[in-house]
Formats: sequence, structure tokens, C-alpha cells
Amino acid sequence: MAGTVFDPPVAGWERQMPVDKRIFLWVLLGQAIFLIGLSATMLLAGNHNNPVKQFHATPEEFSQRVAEFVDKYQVGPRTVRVPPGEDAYLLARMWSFYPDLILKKGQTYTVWYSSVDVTHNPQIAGQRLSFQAVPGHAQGVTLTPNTTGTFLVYCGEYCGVGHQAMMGKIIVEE
Amino acid sequence: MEAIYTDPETGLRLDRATRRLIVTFLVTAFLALGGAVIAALLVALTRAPAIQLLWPSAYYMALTFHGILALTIWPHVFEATLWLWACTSLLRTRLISPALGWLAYGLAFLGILMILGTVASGNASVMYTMYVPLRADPLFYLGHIIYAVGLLTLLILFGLNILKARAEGTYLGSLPLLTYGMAVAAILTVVAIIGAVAAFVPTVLWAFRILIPKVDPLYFKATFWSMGHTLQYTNITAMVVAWYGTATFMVKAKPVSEKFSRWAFALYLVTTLPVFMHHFLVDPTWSLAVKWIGATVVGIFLGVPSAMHGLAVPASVEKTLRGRGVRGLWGWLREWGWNNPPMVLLAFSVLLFGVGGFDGTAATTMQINMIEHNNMWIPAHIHGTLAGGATLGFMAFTYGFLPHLGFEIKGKRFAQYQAWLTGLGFTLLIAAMHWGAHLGVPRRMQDIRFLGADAPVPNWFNSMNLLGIAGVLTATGILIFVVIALTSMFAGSTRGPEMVAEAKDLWLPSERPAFAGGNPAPSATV
Ligand code: HEM
Ligand SMILES: [Cu+2]
Ligand SMILES: [Cu+2]
Repeated sequence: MAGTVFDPPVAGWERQMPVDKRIFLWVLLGQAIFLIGLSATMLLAGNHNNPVKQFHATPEEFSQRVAEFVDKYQVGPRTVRVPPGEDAYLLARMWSFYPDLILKKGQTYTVWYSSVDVTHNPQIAGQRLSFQAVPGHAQGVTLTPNTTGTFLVYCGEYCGVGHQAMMGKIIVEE
Repeated sequence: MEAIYTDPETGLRLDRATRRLIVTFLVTAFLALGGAVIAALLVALTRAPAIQLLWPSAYYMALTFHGILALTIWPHVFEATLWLWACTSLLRTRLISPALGWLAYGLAFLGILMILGTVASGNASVMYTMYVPLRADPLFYLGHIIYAVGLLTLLILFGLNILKARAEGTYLGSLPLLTYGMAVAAILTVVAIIGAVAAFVPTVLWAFRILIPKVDPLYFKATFWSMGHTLQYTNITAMVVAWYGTATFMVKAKPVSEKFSRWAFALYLVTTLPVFMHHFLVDPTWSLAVKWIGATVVGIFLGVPSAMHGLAVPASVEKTLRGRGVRGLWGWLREWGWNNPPMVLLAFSVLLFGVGGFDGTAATTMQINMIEHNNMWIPAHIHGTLAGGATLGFMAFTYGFLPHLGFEIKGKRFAQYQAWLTGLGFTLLIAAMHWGAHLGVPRRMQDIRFLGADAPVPNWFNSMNLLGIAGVLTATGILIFVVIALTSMFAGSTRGPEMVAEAKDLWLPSERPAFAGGNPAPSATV
């Protein structure tokens, strides 16, 4: 048993890299740099971004803010009409999103998400917008609705046995 | 002295003590894969709205089983066999301590039992990601720790054995390529286990309600993924080792340039760790600049070594076939071995891994992540990389590895169907997942009809019905594989006697390794 099929064909084989392999290596590196440039361009010049906006808030503090927000702008049992220019608040808990929000088409809003129990993930049906709602951390999501209608909000982060029943609503008016 | 096996096909030798350990780990791995697939069947049939088999609590338990068996257990237990093989047979030496190997197995097995037992009890339906403050049975977290200690013990054995081989001089120069790859996988795993300590030590105390009243969800998620995503590169590195191994077992291919391949392995060490940040692109954490560098920039560079291997492995097959007289630009593709199950699986593994890698890289960019996060894009990515890539790669390797261990493959005819069914099945499954992702279907969701919703639910049902069909096909393919592998092994070592006969030890001083760097190989001097 001199050699095995796993041995290199010649001694010192592991120290050689033929020219064509070097070219492959450079092509792949060049392609990576191109993609990185593209992603940087989208961050700097694109309009589909959400710079990180956050503050720390205990579940009690955040619930307090949501209660004040609902008090001020409430128009239905669990519905709030958000005046243009105002920030909105969305409270995630097992298993609902509160309150339902009425927004105006073409206006820009920041919606603050947080949770009082476990991590949730409000997703807007059909619009495919997905940010996390994490207990102890509030996160601001800036959006400009460009379609009118009623949109289901459901939860994208597994949050226990009621996960599929966790829903809310966003209504966009003309 | 225990018996030595010599495989006449490869010229490699293996001692009985190591072989017994390898076989035990292999059987355990295949059982885990079988369990994962049975759970997958329930999962797929529930996600198809036309059937929606399971109710919520059962669904989330089945999905926890699927994720844990398929991701936490199956690949790492399989990799244990690669580590054991790479530090003994390929280095022409025995295990420094089989007892340490059994200790590793015992710990890993105990951990697995605790994890699966707590999930089965219904008190740990928290998915394999177990994001706190979701709370599972404390033994669930403890089981993970014991399992990790088991793996770490095995890695210590692997490291000690390399030192032993070096001291004995049974290999000279660099490590053989496959051992080099598994050493990279071992280093990545040790780094991952550091993350695991940071994640699990506070969490297990919190779960037992001692000392720690609260674990911050983002702290847990960050430490969890610093472990979890790094472990995916253990899987990928091992998958690449399985690719090279399959090409060598099947067509006796040699890498086109070992230096190129070694560079690619080594690059994983540099680029792996920071990319766990891509799990936080839409979380309230670090600034956009930090996320961009960690997730996007490093993430894109991480594609380079994978692309290098993805080119090098088919190239090694091409070169070998051309050396045997295959002609034309594409002749080697025609002669690839489309009726040879492991070569079919190897081809699907490389292709599907490419698809999954593309999905992952795309999702590391902010703009795509904010629309694909937590929808079916993520399972599509996982089933491209870990299922289509690593699992098919390991399956391909198994078809070469079992005969190498002395087991004849039973039911070769079924292996044919199995390879094509699994490869095409995963292709369809991943296609269905992409379709669902395009419509925004959420992952980990028992009911996408959203019963009781008072807002319109998108019409996204057909994508998931297709997923149900693809799921049945794929699961059948993998189950056939598990049955073939287990029956081949339980039928016993039919090639055994012939293989034991000749050698007295793994290495005789007169047989200097052919890869003695710089020294003329013995075959060249005779
Ligand atoms: C046999 C065929 C398989 C089918 C039909 C299948 C099906 C699925 C489906 C439908 C999901 C998404 C469930 C959901 O998000 O609600 C899923 C998740 C997953 N699958 Fe598979 N799968 C299969 C094989 C595999 C294999 C071989 C692996 C890896 C080795 C794997 C790893 C995973 C992982 C890690 C997840 C994520 C689990 C989670 O979100 O917690 N699957 N699978
Ligand atoms: Cu939720
Ligand atoms: Cu949820």
C-alpha cells in the first residue's frame, strides 16, 4: 500500500496554484466587490431604506405610550386615525396587534413597534413589509402608504400556540 | 491489536475500534434524518391549505421536531463520522483514545434524548431557535448544553489525534485536503461553541429560575446566532469535504489545484463569524453601517469560497474524465454518471447549494431583507443550503463511504430512483417556497387562511399546495435513502473478511506516505 486514492498526484501539489485558477479567484473577488458596491449604492441613493430608529422602553412604559396615543386619536373600539405628521404606536402581545391604524395615502408616518411579552413580527399582507417587535426595545418603521385599502397585519415570528391567530389591521384612506 | 480493515478500492485502512465508533455515529445520524423527514411530511401536509393536517399545538411541535432533528442533530452527528475518519484513516493512525470517542457519543446521545424528550412532552414547542422569552422545559436547554459538550469532546479527540499523527510522522507536510477541511470545520465549531456558552449558560439559569431573572431577547438572539450561523459553516465545510470525497470515491478524481481548494477552506475562517448579523437587519439593534458591514459586505465575500469549491469539484470530475479520453466541450457532463446515484446527488447538491447560497446572499441586503424576512424565502434558503446542499452531499458521500467501511449497498435499483426523486423533489420544493415567498407567505404558520381575519387575505394558497406535493415526493426520496443506508449497515459487513486479511497496522515504516512533502514518494523510487 504505497498510496491511496486520496493522496495528491505529485509531491508538493498543495503548494501550486495554476494560472487559470488564479484568474477564477480574481473574477470571483471582483464580482463580490461589484455586488458590495451595488448594495452600498442602494443604501445611499435608494429610497427603500429604514435607518435604525430605536429606544429602550420597558413593556409598562411602552404600553403607557400606546394608551396615551389611543386616548388621543381613537375613532372606534380599537381603531385610531393617525393624523399626518404624528408618530403611530403598535403594541404586540400574545396574540394580537393593537390598535388598528387608519393612515392617509401619500403621507409619511413612523410607526413604533414593541412587544410586552415575547418577540413578534408584524407583517403587512400583500405589502411584504416585515420588522421585528422586541420586548424592551421599541423600533421605528417609516413608511409612506401608496395604495388605499384594508391590509391584514399578521405575525411572522413564532410566538406560541396562538401565533396564527395574532392579527391586526391597517386601513389606508384617500 | 485489533483488526485492521484495508479497502482495496481506496487503499485506505481503518482499525476496528474507530470503525465501530464511526458506525454508531452514522446509524444515529440516519435515524435523526429519518425522524426529521417524518416530521417534514407532517409539516408539509399542514402547510398545504388544501389539507392542513395538524392543529396549531401539534403543528408547532412537529415543526420544532423537524428543525431540531434536521438542523441541530442530523448534520453534526454525521460530521462526527467525518471527523473521526479524517483524523484516523486519512492520517494512517489509530484513535488516541476510543474511550474519549465513546464519552463524546454518550454525552451527545444523552443531550439528544433530553432535547427530543422535552419536545415530545409538549413543553418545548419553541422551534430550534427558542428565542427567549419563549420558555421551554429547563431540561431542553440543559440537553443542548450536554449535546454541545459531547461534540466538543469529539473535537478535542480530533485535535489530539492530529497531534498524535504528526508526532508519529504518519503524515508529513500539510494535512491531507479532506482532513484540512475537517480541521477548518472543527475550528469553526469551537468558535461557535463559545457563542453557545454565552447564549445557553444565562438561559439555562433563567429557565431553572436561579440567579437570573431575565435574559434580554436581543442578547440571546445575538449570542444564539453567533453560534447558530457559525455552525452552518461547519455544515458547509463538511459538505464540501463530502463533495471532494464523493468525487474521489466514485471517479477517483483528484482536486484540480489543492492550493486553490485549501485557500477556499481557509477563507471560511476569515469570513464566517461576522455574518451572523444578517439575522438582525430588521431588529432594533446596531446602526445601519454596522449591519451593512457585518451582514452584507462580509456576507457577499463569504460567497467567494463557496463558489470556488462549487467550481473546483465539478472541475476535478471533468479533468479526470478527460484524462480517460472523454471528448468535446460537454462530453464530461454527458459521462458524469447520471445513472450512478451518488454522482446524481452530487450534481443536485452543488446546484441546489448554489440556489440556496444565492437566496442567502440576496437576503443579506437591507432592501431585500425587509420584504423577505420571516417569509418562505428563509425556508427556501435553508432547503437550498442545508437540505439540498449539505444533506444531498452527505447522502452522496454515504454511497461511497458505506462500501469503504465494508457494507455493500443493498437495493441499488432503489438508490437510482431515490437519487432522482430526492433531487427533483427538492428542486420543486424550493421552487414552491420561492413562489410562496414572492407572494409573502409567512414561515412557521399553521394557518395561512387566517381564520377570523377581518381584512382580506392574499390569494397565496396554490404555492403552498404545490409545496405539499413536492414535500411528499422529497420525503419519500429521503426515506428510501434512510432505509437503504440502514439495511445496508444492519445486513453486516459483507466485505469484511476480505478486508481484514492483509494488514497488521495502519502504517508501516517502510511505507512512507506518498504525500511526504518534498520527499520523493516511494512509488517513484521503486
Ligand atoms: C424531506 C423533505 C422535506 C420537507 C418536505 C421539508 C419541509 C419543510 C417546510 C414546509 C418547512 C417550513 C415550515 C414552516 O415554516 O412553517 C421546513 C422548515 C425547515 N426545514 Fe425542512 N423539509 C424537508 C427536509 C429538510 C431537510 C433534509 C433539512 C435539513 C437537513 C430541513 C431543514 C429545515 C429547517 C432547518 C427548517 C426551518 C424550521 C423552522 O423554521 O423552525 N428540511 N421544512
Ligand atoms: Cu406574534
Ligand atoms: Cu407570532
